[in-house]
Amino acid sequence: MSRRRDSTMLVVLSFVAAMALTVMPLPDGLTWFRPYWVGLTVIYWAIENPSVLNLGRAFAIGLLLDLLTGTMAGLHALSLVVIVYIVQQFRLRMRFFPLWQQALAVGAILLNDRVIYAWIQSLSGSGVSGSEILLAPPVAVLVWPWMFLLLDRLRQRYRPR
Amino acid sequence: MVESGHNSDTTSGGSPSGALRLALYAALAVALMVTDHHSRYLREVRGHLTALTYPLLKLVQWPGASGRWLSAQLADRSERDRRVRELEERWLVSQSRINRVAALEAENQRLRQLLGSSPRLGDRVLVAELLDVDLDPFTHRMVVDRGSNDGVFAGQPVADARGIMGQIELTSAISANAVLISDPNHAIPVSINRTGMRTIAYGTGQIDRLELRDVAASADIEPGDLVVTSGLGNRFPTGFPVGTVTSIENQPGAPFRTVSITPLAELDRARQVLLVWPGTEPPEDEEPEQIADGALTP
Repeated sequence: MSRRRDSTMLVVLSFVAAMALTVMPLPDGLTWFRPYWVGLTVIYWAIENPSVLNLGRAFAIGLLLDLLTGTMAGLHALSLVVIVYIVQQFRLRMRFFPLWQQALAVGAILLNDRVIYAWIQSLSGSGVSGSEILLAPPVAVLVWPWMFLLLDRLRQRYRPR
Repeated sequence: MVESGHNSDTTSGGSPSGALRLALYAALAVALMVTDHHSRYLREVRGHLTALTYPLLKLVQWPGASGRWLSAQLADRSERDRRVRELEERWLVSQSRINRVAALEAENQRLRQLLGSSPRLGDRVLVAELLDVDLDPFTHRMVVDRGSNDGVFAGQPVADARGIMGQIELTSAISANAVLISDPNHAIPVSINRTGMRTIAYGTGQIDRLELRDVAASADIEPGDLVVTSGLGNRFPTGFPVGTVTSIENQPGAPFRTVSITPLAELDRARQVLLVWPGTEPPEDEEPEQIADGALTP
């Protein structure tokens, strides 16, 4: 029973860590390279344990992220719901991809997400010239294998039996 | 191929209910965004809820804050003494300048009395600390550690020692989010100090550049001109420095030209900011007003 609680704790802690990394100050030139940490975490749980992450929870996490980063309410909620939906569609295939192929798929999902995100931002009047939004997904591809292995190791340790 | 066969668990997609729920949540998100963009009410709710995430923002401060604390502990004593001396000197210089300004202000008040115009009120300020966090890179926002408990309100001007930085957008009880003047959605009414010409400075999304877009091609404006707040719109106090004119783009035949301004406030480096309550402090020299009152009442 306590192991089940531990595994819930792991899910919560992974999201808290992802959100902390999201607002952690970076040197000025690097902010556009910051991977979409919460997006990566959402993808991980949607692939590995869909019972902890349905669309409703992704929506709630997105709203929390909107509060944290001061964006319009609903912006990150939409982004995460779309990500989880896409992962749900391809979940069984993505689970058995080799890690590098999985990383590329994750990169493609996040790239799609950034394009939608930037489009909505530009609708609301924030003019970003464009090419900056392409910088984060490649970094996320490099981060994904390490994050996957770390979370997998932790999850194995706290797996409920 | 594989997943179409195994739709026993509802969470794996492909089922029409999955797409339906996606559409539902997406519609809800879009409705929220539109409401938030257009109404003040949801923004207020969002401000209150922001307090929920404040502990996390505080937590993120920890590495930077402890690093600064450590370097302060390790700093050389003589270095600290030198810094104190330097600050004392600077304080002396600004103090003497303030004394002169106070005399001018009193004179200005008297002249306004003579002209019969309403006396200009002073501004109350509160020093607030900026949190060292990166919010969304698409927008220029910052978080200050004072909230509605300290009387901070939405629309309140924020400045540093050099000039206007922006205005408060959301407040929770303990913190507030501010928009910088460089945000592409922000505009501030200004006037050119040298000529008194009034116009509007728009944010560009670049931290070191604002733009004047409505300057007539024939207007008198030069690089180096100081741009100050005009006080129109009753949001920003009058006469706060905003920036200096750096370049003027002249297109032959165009009725307007684009003027670039470099903000004077350290938008990306400031650690402490001033929250300003425009026109809340009574003028320092009250005497002339009382005399005028006495003369008016029979």
